Amino acid sequence: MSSIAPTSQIKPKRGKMGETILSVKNLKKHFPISAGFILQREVGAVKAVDGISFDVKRGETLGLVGESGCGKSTTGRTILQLYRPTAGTVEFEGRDLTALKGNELRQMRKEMQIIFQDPFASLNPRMTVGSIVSEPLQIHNLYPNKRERQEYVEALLERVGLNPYFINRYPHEFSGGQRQRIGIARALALRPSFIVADEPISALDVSIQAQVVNLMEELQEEMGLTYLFIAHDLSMVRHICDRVAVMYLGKIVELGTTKEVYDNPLHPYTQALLSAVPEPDPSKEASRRRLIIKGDLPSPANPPAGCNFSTRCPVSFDLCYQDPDPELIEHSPGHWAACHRVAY
Amino acid sequence: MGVLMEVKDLVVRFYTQEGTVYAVNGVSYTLNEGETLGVVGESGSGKSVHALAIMGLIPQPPGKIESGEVKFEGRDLLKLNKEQMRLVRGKEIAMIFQDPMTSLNPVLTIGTQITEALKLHLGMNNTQARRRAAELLDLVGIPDAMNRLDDYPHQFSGGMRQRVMIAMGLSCNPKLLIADEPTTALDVTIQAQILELVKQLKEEFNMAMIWITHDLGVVAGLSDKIQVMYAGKIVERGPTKEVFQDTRSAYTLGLLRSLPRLDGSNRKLIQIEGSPPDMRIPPKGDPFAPRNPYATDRCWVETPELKVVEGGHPDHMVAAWYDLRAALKAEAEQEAAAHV
Repeated sequence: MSSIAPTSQIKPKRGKMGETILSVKNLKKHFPISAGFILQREVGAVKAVDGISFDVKRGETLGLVGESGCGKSTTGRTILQLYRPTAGTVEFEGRDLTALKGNELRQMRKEMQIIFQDPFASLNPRMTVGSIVSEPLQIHNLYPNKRERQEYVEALLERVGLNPYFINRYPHEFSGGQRQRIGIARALALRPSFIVADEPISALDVSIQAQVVNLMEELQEEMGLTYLFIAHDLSMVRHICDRVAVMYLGKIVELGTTKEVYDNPLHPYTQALLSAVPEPDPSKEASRRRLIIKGDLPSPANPPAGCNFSTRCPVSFDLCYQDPDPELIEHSPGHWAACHRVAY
Repeated sequence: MGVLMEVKDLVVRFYTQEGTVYAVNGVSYTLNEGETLGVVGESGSGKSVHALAIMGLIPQPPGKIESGEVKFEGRDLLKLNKEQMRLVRGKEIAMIFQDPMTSLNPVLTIGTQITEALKLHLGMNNTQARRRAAELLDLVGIPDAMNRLDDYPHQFSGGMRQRVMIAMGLSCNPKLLIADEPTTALDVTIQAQILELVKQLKEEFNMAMIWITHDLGVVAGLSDKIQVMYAGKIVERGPTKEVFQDTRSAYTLGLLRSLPRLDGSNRKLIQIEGSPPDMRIPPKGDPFAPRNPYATDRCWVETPELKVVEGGHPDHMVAAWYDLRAALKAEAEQEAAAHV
């Protein structure tokens, strides 16, 4: 496969691998619930993200896992300032994004892009592939020369595994996997250093998922990309991520290197989550003891007092039902968990 | 165990404005009483359409069952008229669907929807039916069942709705339950709850089950037999363990190799190149040949039939011209030689 042509207009990446590229501190995103017909008033809030902190290192892939409604996608979007946070800071390359507006924020967006889950809904059906991928370039006034721009877009398409000949086709002419490749090309167009991948493979067929994941891994190595990989497929997260953060009801309950979290899960929710994943191996499945947690996710508009997981937790005790909820504590170097059971 | 259902050479096509879709192209198999069959395939493999054909739920037109037989306890379901089929559906064979939000009627209470089948098929009166419905909800793990009969679907969570669907499916004690991706829309912890429930109920009701899914992990722990479908055909079929451990179809192997493992044991995902065929233009020969690294010349021109594998389990069948076992052995030898 060809690599993307050297570009004079887009600056080479700076910074060392392993240093902190993104630092999220006490991030909150509450969506107001309104009542009333004409005179709307706020009667509460959905606490989609409720005070989370973590760092992302340059060149790594941090996985954000959890079940639907746990706030993982909202976290991704709030980091990119697609949603404005209710509280907290997001420091990216040393600058607090929450304090930026307008053009300043737009300039930062060159460095951070997103790949969406649904390759059917995230591409404008009335735009050709070429115009979809080159739109970010136009917005940022890169490649004003039309021919050069087209050459660059063709190189991008080729790099993500699409025939550049398809540049004038429309999204409906492509399969789900190919559309996700278009989405990746669009995210790469500005040569960002950081990409939020919001469930990029969930909507794809099994045989196509590995193709997209392999492509993402290749691109990461080639371009020194940093990923925030949001997913609910725990096997895939184990495969692609260096570190993983487990979310439950708007909070991070466990954070650590992928190996540590998977081999030695501390939080009872992580344990239950891992034991619930069905594995494509009949002999393993036959001998496996499942830890089944009862009940459903509580509503984020009305989270339980104390630990958010207390309503479903198999090992909860009196302290878990009282405020304040457990804090994220480092139990071994780099391995954090928020659980009273683990702490005491 | 006796034979419960025999599907013979089922062919289903859809005649649409964009052309003819060759959805199911000659599917034959037998299902024993009390057996759980996992049907695995990607979207467009014909796995759901073949189940809808069994249930007589193919919209005709545009769909048409071109040929085939579905012998259920000796009767050919495809020959029954609408009235006769209605007596089979829900009573003898029940089906649960992927999305419990769209398959429950939003304007009727759960109670009304469950009791409908009980009154129609078992001739219960309202009081009896309600009592039985509450028992069923209790059985599938819905707390406070009697009071929840008067709730509407939107008052239940996704997992609870799927439990309601299962209760409806079980209501008339069917001999066969067809489940079409019933846990795909659910979170893993809820999926684990439902799978556990289904395993338990299967024992209790002693029914056969066809579990349609794209997730090889789900069927690994659930089914007795597995049937892998591709492009409207069965490419491999056999006892679950055999299919996973003595894989004979390159497509099944491709799926298994492209899956990451929870213990992190396969470092590199080996992807299947290309994409599934457009079933308006079904490929000639073995439909998987264009994506198959082990394809032989014959695969491109002649369609293989499902045959018992050589040197394996007698119930293990594969549709292939290539010999996957020999190909893998040669590959391993080559690799070993390269290491020396």
